[in-house]
Amino acid sequence: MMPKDRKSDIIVSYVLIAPAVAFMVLFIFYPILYSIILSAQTYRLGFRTRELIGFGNYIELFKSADFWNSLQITGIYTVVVVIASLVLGICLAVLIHQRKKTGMIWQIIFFLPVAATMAAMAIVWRFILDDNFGVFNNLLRALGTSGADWVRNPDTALGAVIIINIWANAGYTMVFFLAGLANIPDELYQTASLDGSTRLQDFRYISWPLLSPTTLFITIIMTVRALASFDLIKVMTNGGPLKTTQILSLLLYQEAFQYFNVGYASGIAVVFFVIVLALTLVQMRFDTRIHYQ
Amino acid sequence: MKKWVIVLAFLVASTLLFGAAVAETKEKEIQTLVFYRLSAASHDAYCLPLMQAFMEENPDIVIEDVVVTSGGYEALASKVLLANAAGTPPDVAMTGYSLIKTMVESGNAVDLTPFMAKDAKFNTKGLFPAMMDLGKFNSKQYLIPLGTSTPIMLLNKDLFAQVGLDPDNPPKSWAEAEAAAQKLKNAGYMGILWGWSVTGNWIFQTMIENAGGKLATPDSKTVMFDEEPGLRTMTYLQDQVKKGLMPVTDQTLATFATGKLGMLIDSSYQRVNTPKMVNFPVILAPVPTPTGADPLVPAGGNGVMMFAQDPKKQEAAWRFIRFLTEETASFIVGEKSGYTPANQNVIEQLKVKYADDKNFAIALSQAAKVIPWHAWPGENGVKINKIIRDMQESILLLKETPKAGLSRAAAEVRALL
Repeated sequence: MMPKDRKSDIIVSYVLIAPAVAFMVLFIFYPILYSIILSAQTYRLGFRTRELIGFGNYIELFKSADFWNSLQITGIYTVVVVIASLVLGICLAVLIHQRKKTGMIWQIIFFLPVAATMAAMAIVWRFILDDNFGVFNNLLRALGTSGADWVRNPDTALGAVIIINIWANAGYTMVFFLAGLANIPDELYQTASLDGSTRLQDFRYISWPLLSPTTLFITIIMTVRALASFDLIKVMTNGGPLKTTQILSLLLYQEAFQYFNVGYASGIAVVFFVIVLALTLVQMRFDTRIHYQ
Repeated sequence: MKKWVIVLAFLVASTLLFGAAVAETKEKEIQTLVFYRLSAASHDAYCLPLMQAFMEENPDIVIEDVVVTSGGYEALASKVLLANAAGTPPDVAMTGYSLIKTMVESGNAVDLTPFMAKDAKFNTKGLFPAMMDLGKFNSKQYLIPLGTSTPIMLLNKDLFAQVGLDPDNPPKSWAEAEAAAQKLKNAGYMGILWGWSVTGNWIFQTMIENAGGKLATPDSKTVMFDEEPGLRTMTYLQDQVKKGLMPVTDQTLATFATGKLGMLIDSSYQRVNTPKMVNFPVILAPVPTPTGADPLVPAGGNGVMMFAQDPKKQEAAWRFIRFLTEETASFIVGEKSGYTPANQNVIEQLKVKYADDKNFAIALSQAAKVIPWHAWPGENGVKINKIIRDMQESILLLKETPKAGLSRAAAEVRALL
């Protein structure tokens, strides 16, 4: 028989977590469940009738060239953005970490794009890169080179949005790496310098291994951010030209809110959810391997 | 005894106060009308005065507007459908002509025919039949036109004069337009920009219709844009790009505003707004056609539809919709926006009042001759529009030949239909 005190403790615990649980059920689990239900229906946004079709939306989705095109573009976009943001972030962090006096100023400068609204920045970038009146092309022409239609050329559009996303996120990864570097004891570097190690060796044998937990954490966060990226591409290219920047989140938006095809869009959402969950679980398997005691 | 007097006095006073409050409330009973609309400087310029004027004439109704600031008519339609799905539909909503079918097929739009029939104050005969027909679906009136626009050419008068072209004698045919564009290009400017990216493939439809073709039969059962007129249209446009006469951009107004583009084919809706945002005089002219004949012009613009389900709300909504066709509202639309109202009497008065304004005269004369803006039926209408838009972009970016692009797009559209 449970002691009365213990029983009341348990009740109090459930009462205290009830609001958080209610929030999670209402805003996370219920929408996921309802999306799965919607994905089994032909439901058009706002329409009064709907029909249960089982896996019909998924069959149509996996036969769709647009879906596979979007998946491929999302994969390329995510891999490049994550790797480049990590590399740039850690380089900035290492350089700034060495500057005791001006470090804070550099942190603010590189963090500014993170703090700004992505949609607003995208509008500005679109005008900067415009072929007919953009500042960037005017500068290139003044320097004697020819400009280009960076955002409306199918060969350069994806590269342009990737570079802008890296610019917007490098400061984000930099901040986490700076925090990671700050946690590494100075004594390790001092000991290594007594043995004659160079800065590169310090980084390779001390900083990089001890930053593993930070790196894994950032990789997971950046992967999810890149996969869920929407506002930059929606404003800059809207998935064009010729669907060369049509990532999966944009395809989902178009199907739901431009074509009003909510059932089909929910199918995309469910597939997307499974992909993101799988990637996150795979990455988290490395967690136990990278913590040093 | 004293206590009872006090209690009685209190009861009498409370009753009097309560009664007065109820009487006052009943006298001031105000109906709120929820109106979904587009919002931008150009739309606010006529919408805000319209709502103000209506509320002044109808002090028992307050209009609460919900705005959509980007994404055009599709975004507005999406918001309306979402509100319907949530069980909180707007009472009245602005709707683009090409989206009437989607709204009606959703089952949420209210047939206005009974309201028109029983309201003696509603003057159907005073409204332009061609514009009223735009709001019909299956012979029922679902949309009352608020304002209509037509494809038109905007000329940079200064640029024209600078390169030796006559701005008062604009190009009428495709060949003349090309020659003028060439002259502009030789002087280091951009020649012409056909608004291929305008929503709903409006300019593409204009060009095909004037080349003797159609996007499809009126019931959309036969797709026709891949036939000879369509091929001729896209070949002409691709040639303009290849010859460096036309930039490939969807930033039509921003490009025109730089002052380096001579001719822009866009909407007569730009009559009021564009001259304000540029620092050169703008002339409107009819869209050039293959032979130079007067152009056929599909109607653009929007109207209002009713979504209120409660009879009391429907009555208030109908009063607002009827107001929008009357003289006060029609003058506001005609003078403060680039749209042409549906009220025939007001159009005649505007023609007299602004007889010296050539831009206004062209916009008014074209609005009287509109043909329907093709609306694709069924659940894939918006997707079909995107396929056609992407096809144009692909051809203009020289990724496909006109024939290959048209054939591919037509096959995709037929599959969706």
